[in-house]
Order: sequence, then structure tokens, then C-alpha cells
Amino acid sequence: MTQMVTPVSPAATPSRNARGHVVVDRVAKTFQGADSSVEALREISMEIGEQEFVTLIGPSGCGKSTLLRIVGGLIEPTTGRIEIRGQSPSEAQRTKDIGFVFQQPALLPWRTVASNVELPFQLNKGSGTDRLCSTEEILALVGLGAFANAHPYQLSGGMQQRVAIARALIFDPALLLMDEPFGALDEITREGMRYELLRIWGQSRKTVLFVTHSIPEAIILSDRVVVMSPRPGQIREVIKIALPRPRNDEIESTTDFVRYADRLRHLLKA
Amino acid sequence: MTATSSATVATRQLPRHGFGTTVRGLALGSGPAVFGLVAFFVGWEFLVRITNTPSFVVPAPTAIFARLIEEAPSYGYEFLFTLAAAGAGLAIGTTIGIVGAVLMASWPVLERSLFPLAVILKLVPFIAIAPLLRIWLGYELTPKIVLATLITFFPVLVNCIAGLRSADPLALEFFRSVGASRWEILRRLRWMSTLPYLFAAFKVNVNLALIGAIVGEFFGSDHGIGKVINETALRLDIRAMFAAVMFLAITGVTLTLLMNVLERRVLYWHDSVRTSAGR
Repeated sequence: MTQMVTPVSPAATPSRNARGHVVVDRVAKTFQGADSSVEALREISMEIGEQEFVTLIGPSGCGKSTLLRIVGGLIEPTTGRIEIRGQSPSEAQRTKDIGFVFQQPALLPWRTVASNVELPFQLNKGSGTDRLCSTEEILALVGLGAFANAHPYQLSGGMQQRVAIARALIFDPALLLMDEPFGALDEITREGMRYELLRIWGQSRKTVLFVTHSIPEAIILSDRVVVMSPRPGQIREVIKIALPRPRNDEIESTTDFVRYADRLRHLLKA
Repeated sequence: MTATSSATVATRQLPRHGFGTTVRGLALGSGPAVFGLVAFFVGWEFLVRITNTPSFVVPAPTAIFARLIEEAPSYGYEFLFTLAAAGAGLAIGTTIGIVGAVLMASWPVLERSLFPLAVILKLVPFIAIAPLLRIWLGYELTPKIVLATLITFFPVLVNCIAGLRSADPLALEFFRSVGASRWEILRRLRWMSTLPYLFAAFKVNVNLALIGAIVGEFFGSDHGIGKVINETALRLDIRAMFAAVMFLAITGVTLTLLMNVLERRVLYWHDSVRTSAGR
């Protein structure tokens, strides 16, 4: 298999899109209802380094999805600001530097798989023509080379989600935002998809902010895990995952892994 | 993971969307319906003969069909006028409905102000308007076109608004995250999401437009199948009247069948069409 993207080492000059330095500066969010308000997030500050894989984990309702959407520019914060490579999220949207993957694939059912992956190039055309690789190559990368002309309804949930990942990667965004992307899949598929994602990520090394409520998933995937408290969401603790890469399923039985899992479980329970 | 191992994981066979496939499918699936119709007519014929009902009260199907074959060319000619009026009314009504829906979905203030007006228009009984239109607009096609337009625009308006709003919210978020403009969202996402709703309205409207045109013809017309039904009824030529009604029924069924075939081709991706195809 030909390598389609040269992995960027810190020593070499990073390409414009490899850098994905993200700053979250005192972000808070309160949702105003008709006669009530909900404080979803209270004073969140954190940074994500280039090519770092950071996971947000927390109990349901802690605001992790809200925070993800604020970083991605889909929700306005009540206070605070976000910086993505020095740009605001709206500017990053305009320059197509944000790739989103949601819990549901959200593909367009009337288009083929290949056409769905090509969709970002038909929107906001003024933002330039950054492209990670050809459509065939990215489909081969996610393991769907034979399905370019299939329609989403002919694919299983896991396969559709892989198309969604391909769609979010093809325009070479600086930042990949993933909101529990494997949440709708069955356990077996889910476990396989984690390592699939690592393999895909290893080829393109994007900066990733990943939301999950699965402890093993957080440890397997991330460089750092940000643990959030229940609503109103705040950062409880940040844990650095010092497991070596590349990772495979053997690490799940190492003592380090178990220790991290215990630590996270303890933090999430209290 | 190689491409070949992925291919063996294929869950469903790729369908062919050829015209022949869908027409054949329709033909095979319509067996029970044809049987039902034949049984209905046989039963009707039987009852008429048994009770010796005179033909000016209820004619037997054989008599009706015989008369229909006789009159078919002239009925066909007249029907063309009805079809023209219904078709024009449908086209105009659909356009107004879609344009109105797009405007109302984009500017809620328009919806709040104009929608009640549309509802009032919808509630006026068309039977009451028809003679007025004939007085104002004459005996030719225009009053029927107006009637057909009035009847057909409301289902399109309502369904189109619902359809525009039915776009997948996560797909919408993806569009926004790559900086898509409102127009791009409308064109690439909302429009296709609206099609199933539009088709639902269209299926109803094809018949409604015909009815509107025919009602218009009842109140005075130079041409049209409605005029034929009216005249034959007034002359007490019941067999001819039934023949004309039967002609109308046949064309109505044909149009509905055509609509179904069209729907399967355009909406092949939508759940409503796929589940009915047994996939």
C-alpha cells in the first residue's frame, strides 16, 4: 500500500494543516430558556497541542458535547473564547479547518459513498482546495475501497461511520472534532473501530478532540484525558496517558492500562 | 485490511435502478389488485342481471364497457381539455406552494402573517367558487386552471415547509462546520430532504387537480370530461354517463401508477420507498 501522507515529525517543517494548536480560554456556557436557564459549562480552560489526541470524558450531561460544539463554532460561548491556530472558530469554519464526526454518520442518503466523501469540496468553495488525498485513497484507508458507488443505506452502521470519518478528513482540516463517534455501534464493532481510528489517525496525524464516556476508549486513543465533573461542567483533572504508540489491543492487559482505568473510574464516580 | 476482505462484508446486494425493474415489480405486485377489481366487476354484473335492474338506473359493466369503447375517441378528446386545465393548475399551484414554503421557512415573520391567509383560502368550498369563476372568467380553460391552482397549492405549501424543516440536524451541523452558506444548505441538503414530502403532496394533488377541473366544468364549459358527465346525466343517458365516469377512473388509476413508478425512481434512497419494495 502506497503511503499517501508523509507523517510529520516535529523536527521537520510542519505543513500548515498539521499544526492544530487549540486554546480554550475561560469558556462558559449558560443556555437561556423561556423561564429558566441551564448552566452547562463553568470556566473551562485548556490547551491542545499540535497533533495531540485529547479526549473529554465525563458523566452524561456534563457538557462535553457542548464544549466540543463550542470549539467547533456550532455554539457560541456565553463567555470566554476559543482559538484554533490563532483563528476564531467561525474563521476556522470558513477556512475549512474543522472536521466534525458525530454520533450518527449523518450522511446524505441520496448520494453514493464517494459522492458523500466529496461533499466538502462542493461547499464553501471559496476556501481553497486543500485535499488530503484522492477519494479512492481515503476510502481505501478507511477500508471501504470496494464501496465507492454504494449508497449509505446499503452499509452497516460501522461502515457508514467510516464514511463519515473519511468525509471529515478528505479536506485536510487542522482539527478533528469527534462526538462519541462509536456510541451508536455495537460493542464488538466499537472495539475494532478504536484501533481502526488509531491506524487512520497514524497516517494523517491530525489534532483531535474526542468525546466519549467509555474509559477504555479514552485510554486506548488519547495522549491526554480531560475528566469533567457533572453539570455545571468543569475540568476535574487532566491525566496524561504515557502508553507508547503505536498501540494495539495488547495494551489493554498491561498494568499501566489497568492503573489508568482505575484512576479514571475513581474520578468519574465521585 | 485489504479491499477484498471488505467486499465480503457487504450486507446487501446493490440494486439496479433501471426502469424495467420497477415496472416489472409493479406488474408482479399488482396481481391481487387486478384480481380484486375483476371480482368487483363480476359481482356487479351478476347483481344487475339477477335483479333485472333497468339500465337507466344501474347499467351492467358489460354495457358500460361496450359504450366506453364506442365513445372512447370523443371522450379522449374531451379529456384532453380537462387534463390541460388540471395540469396547468397543478404546475402553477405547485410553484406557488414551493416558493411560498421557501420564503416562509426562511423568514418566520412571513409565515406568521401569510399562513393564516392560506388556510382561509383552503377552507372556502370550491363548489361555491366555481360558478363565480365561470361568470368572471368564462367557459374556457381559465376558470378551471384557477380552481385547480387553488386546490393544489395548499398541500404543497404545508408539505414543503415540513420537508424543509426535516433536514437531518447532524448533517446540517456538518454543513455549518465547513462554512456552507444558507443557499448551499438549501440546495444541497434541505431540497432533497423535501422531495419525499413533495411527492406525498403530489400524489394527492394529481387527483385533486383533476377533480378541481371537473368541478369547474360542471358549472358550464365548452369542453372537458366533466362537461360530458354533466350533459349525459342531464340527458338521462346513464350508460354514457357511467362510461365517462369509468373513463375518468381508468385515467386516474393510470396516473397514480405512473406517479408510483416515478416515485420509486426519484426516491430510491428514502425509507418510505425502500421498505415498500421489501428490502
